[in-house]
Amino acid sequence: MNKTIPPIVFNGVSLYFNNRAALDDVTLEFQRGKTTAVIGSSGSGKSLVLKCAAGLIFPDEGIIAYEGTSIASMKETLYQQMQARTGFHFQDAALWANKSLGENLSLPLLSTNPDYTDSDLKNKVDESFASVGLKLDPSLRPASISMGQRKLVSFLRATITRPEILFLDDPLAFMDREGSRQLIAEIEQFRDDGATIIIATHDSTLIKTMADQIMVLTHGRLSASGSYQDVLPLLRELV
Amino acid sequence: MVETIGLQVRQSIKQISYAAGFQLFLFRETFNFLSRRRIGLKVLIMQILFTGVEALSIISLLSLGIGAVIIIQGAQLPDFLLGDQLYRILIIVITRELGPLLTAFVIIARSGSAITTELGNMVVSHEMEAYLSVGIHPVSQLGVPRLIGVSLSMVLLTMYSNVFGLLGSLTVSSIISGVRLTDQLAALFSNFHMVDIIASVAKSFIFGLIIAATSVYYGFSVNGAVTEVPVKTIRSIGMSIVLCIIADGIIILITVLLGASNL
Repeated sequence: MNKTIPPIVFNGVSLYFNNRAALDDVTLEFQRGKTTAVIGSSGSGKSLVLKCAAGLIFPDEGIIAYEGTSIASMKETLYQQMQARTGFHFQDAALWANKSLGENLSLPLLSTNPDYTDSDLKNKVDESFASVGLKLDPSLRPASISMGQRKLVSFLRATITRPEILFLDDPLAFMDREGSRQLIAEIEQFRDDGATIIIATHDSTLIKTMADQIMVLTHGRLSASGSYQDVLPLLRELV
Repeated sequence: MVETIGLQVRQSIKQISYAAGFQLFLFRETFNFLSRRRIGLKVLIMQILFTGVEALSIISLLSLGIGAVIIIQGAQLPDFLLGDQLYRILIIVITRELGPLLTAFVIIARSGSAITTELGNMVVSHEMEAYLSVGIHPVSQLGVPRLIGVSLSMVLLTMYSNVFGLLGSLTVSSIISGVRLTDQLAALFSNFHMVDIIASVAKSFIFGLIIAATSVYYGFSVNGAVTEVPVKTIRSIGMSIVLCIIADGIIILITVLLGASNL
């Protein structure tokens, strides 16, 4: 890993849905070890930027480079290594409905290390639940817990392998005050440990307290970027 | 107009090449399954349970009924129940044709549709993206175990269907003709050839591959709208039936050309 180059770079990235540009010629860089907030009104393309950056969606035009290598032309092994070093927290949790909560957390661990024993996995899952104060039976299915709890479990799934890059898509959506507090504390921990964090959010507190860099999207285009003070006038309109 | 036709042709070529690429990837990943079996093993076991074990009752009922009906209808013909010809007809009709086809239709209706619906809903709820985000390809995790599970279940269920179909036929034949069931079974076994079993197994395995690959493909081809799921499920069912019938025709042609059909 070359630490002098930004971990993720967008170069002229466009993405179309039904001939409409959902992302339009986006060029940007996410800085290593920094927290970047991607903001914009609903439908501006925040989630798409995160998904493209994480290699979950490939753009129709332009290049997205991870550690200097285009994600679209990456070899399968390198792509898997990239995914092992990143974590994605989905807006709607996206837990695997037909798997237990324990299995939802075990699978990323097994993906990075197939040699984990069942007892290793159980310990890791228990530790993970305890870290955010979740007192849940790991054998439960996602459908039997609240949306806020699902979001917490989804966060744990994204972070259980201690990724270097963390993508958080509207992390505080559907969360109550206590859940939000726990989640913010966990994100801060990751930031303090030097992780690169990219957050799509509407939450002004999260933006103000966490973001080193803010990127503003308007109708799929990057309309502004900079520090909190730089984009403050725009923030008042957007969040 | 020419432009529209050109656009449609281009779109069709794109779709066909995508489908071909998807199937190649699915089959390639199937060969890699053993090295990753710990992750996909539970999905495989659940698939065999759902496709194979849970379908046993409906398959036995249908096969028994159809086996019995063949004899009831055939008994209207003169001399149908006399001589070894009856057993060859039953073996050819049930083992080589009805068993695999009937089982295929039941599996398409139960498992094929369920696979497409389940995978389609997983696309809509971003569960596929979640697999990608943890470094697991959803085709390897979800498609491959279904391909293996459905194909294995299809072979076993076809054998099961054959047994019940023949049993249904012989039971009714025994009642009508008065010949003891054990004598009928002995006569049936003496008329069985290895090629009958090979043809039945080969057909059912190929049908299983077709059903699983088609259902998985249509499930993954949902783009994100929940309204697409029933549409893709209907297409998956229709396409599976058509492909199974085409495959059936090709296999029959091959056995005829090889001279194995008269054995």
